[in-house]
Amino acid sequence: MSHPKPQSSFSSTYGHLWFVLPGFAFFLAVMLIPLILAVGISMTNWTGFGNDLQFVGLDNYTELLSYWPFYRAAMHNAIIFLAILLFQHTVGLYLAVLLNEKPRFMQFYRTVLFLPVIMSLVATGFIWTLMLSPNIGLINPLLQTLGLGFLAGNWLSDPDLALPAIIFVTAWNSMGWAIIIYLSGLQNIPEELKQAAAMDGANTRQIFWRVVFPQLSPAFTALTVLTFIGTFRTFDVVYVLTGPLGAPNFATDVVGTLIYRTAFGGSSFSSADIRFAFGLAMALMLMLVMAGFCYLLIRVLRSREIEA
Amino acid sequence: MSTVTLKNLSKRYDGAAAAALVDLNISINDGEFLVLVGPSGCGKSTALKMIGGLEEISGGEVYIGDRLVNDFASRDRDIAMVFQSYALYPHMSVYNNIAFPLQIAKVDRADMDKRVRDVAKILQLEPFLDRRPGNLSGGQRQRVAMGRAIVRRPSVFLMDEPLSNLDAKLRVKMRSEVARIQRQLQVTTIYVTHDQVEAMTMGDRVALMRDGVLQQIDTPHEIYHEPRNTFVASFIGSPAMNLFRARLTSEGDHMRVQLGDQNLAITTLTHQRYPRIDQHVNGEVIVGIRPEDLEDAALLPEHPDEQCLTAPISLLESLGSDQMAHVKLQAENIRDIDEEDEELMATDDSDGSGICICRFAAQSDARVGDTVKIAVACDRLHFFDSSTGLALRNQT
Repeated sequence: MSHPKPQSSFSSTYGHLWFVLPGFAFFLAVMLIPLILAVGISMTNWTGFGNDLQFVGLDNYTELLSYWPFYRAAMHNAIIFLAILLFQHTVGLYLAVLLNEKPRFMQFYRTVLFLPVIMSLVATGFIWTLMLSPNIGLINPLLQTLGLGFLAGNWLSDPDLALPAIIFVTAWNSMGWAIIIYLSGLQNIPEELKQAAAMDGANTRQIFWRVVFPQLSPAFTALTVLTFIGTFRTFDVVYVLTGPLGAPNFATDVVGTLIYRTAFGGSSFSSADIRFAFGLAMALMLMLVMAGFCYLLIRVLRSREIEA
Repeated sequence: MSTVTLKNLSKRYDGAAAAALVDLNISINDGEFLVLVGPSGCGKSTALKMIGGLEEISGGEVYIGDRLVNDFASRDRDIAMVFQSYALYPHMSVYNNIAFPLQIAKVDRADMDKRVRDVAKILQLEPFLDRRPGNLSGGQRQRVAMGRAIVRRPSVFLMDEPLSNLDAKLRVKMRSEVARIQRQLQVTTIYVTHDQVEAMTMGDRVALMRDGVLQQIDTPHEIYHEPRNTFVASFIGSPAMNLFRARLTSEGDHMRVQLGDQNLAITTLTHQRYPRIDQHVNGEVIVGIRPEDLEDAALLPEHPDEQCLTAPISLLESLGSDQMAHVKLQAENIRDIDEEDEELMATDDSDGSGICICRFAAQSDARVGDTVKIAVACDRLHFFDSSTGLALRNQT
């Protein structure tokens, strides 16, 4: 006679956690363990080669605090973030509002506008390198044909134009997100609300700003946070368009390329200036600052949102 | 305050086979409470939205007062609307929701504040002015929606099933509340509902619609007691009027209606109300009997035999105040309220019998299975043409 074992109070409370185990194991292997290793390595002076390694404590972090290329790069990230944010909340929102009016061929427009999002950033970068090229590119001849020849320039090699060019390509690439997120927000607003406002005497502009726009705040929050994360870890567009040095003369250098250069090299053939541990410290610092910022952003923006 | 006149108002949606609204002609008096009622898809909401300027007009004219408003935007029509979903602005406080129309109209701040607080007082919303709609109960939201409509003092109120999201008890309460507010403000009101009880209790007049066509517009009393056709007869009243296919016979001066193998005398009064039954002697008609006109004959010993029927009870539902007896008559039932069917349709009982619902007094001792004698109030019989379903009255 064997009786089934009575369920222990532990297993009835926590038994379901077994089901999380496979996912957790995977997360542990690819996220947590590497992260802990990274924290460890960032406290050494390892260059990335050989066994020559000494524990240096928080030296890398204190050095980082006064490492001006890091601030310069972060400043470029911040400029990109603000520009993209502005672009998405204006042009992106406007296009979403237009699409929400359900124009003819809406599916077509929506697909075309979203297409850049699904394209690889590297491919996008290469296409734009060609387009912006002063020798074989399409952009300068196009401007000349339009009578705007005075605007033509050496887009990627002029220090004043390179960062705007990076911003332009990033904006083009990420606008699809803004449109989709705003469009879904717009589609969640009941038609009757707008009809009620029209009945109450509001004109189209008043309906948008006083009734529709305030209800887009969840979309605004989501988009702002996504844009923040996206722009501060940007790397591929810069790498492809202006190279790992953030040419010309570091005018487009972002934290992503700086970390890459520091940890893996890329500026020269010599491995003398490769400092893997310092690069790791930079990456971890970036992660911490971003997490903190996101937390603040979400708290501030959420408080404006309306409870449904 | 204003009259509203609809002239041949029509609506046809692109690609739809049938028109949503066909030549609707109604003229609504100043300060009147008109209820548009009908099953879903009958065109009542479409008509309301066309009056409100939320739906394009395919044909006909809408006048508010003596202004033709066909080409006016909603905001220029001087109307306010209460929506089924209430359509409150979720990001604004109750105060701002009510004040919104005044803010848009740039009403002076002090005046606005006074008007909002007056309205809040009428609607008992004063304790909730700082809350958001998300934190209100259904009934409170409904009152905010009313408040937003009345604060502007428009000439016409439009209400699109404003009570249908409330639970049954609250609905009864708000029904009298809305009617009271309307009487107090004396604003012309057009109220859409699919609930015939709301229609009967609230409206000065009731307009019953079906498939985009107005069936009858009359006071609640007239629409109940003088239905124009079988659809009106069966839609208004709960339980619905019993309708049977029957034959008219005549013996000298006395006309009788034959229900299966039984007879009922047609009284002089009924004959006067339905003079056109003369044209159907020895022919087929549809006879209508309201459940409350059928009583257990045991409780009415004086009732003449020739105004009685005998039938077995198949089901008895006690409501406390009275009992609903479902009896089986050897006559073909007619139903005219199913939303799907276009034509009069018989409920097919294989043995050719039909169910008739009688409202017996609570004192009745009748039991299920008993064959009872039923006293019919033959003064209140209704007669309809068996092919067109129209009442056999001299209709204007």
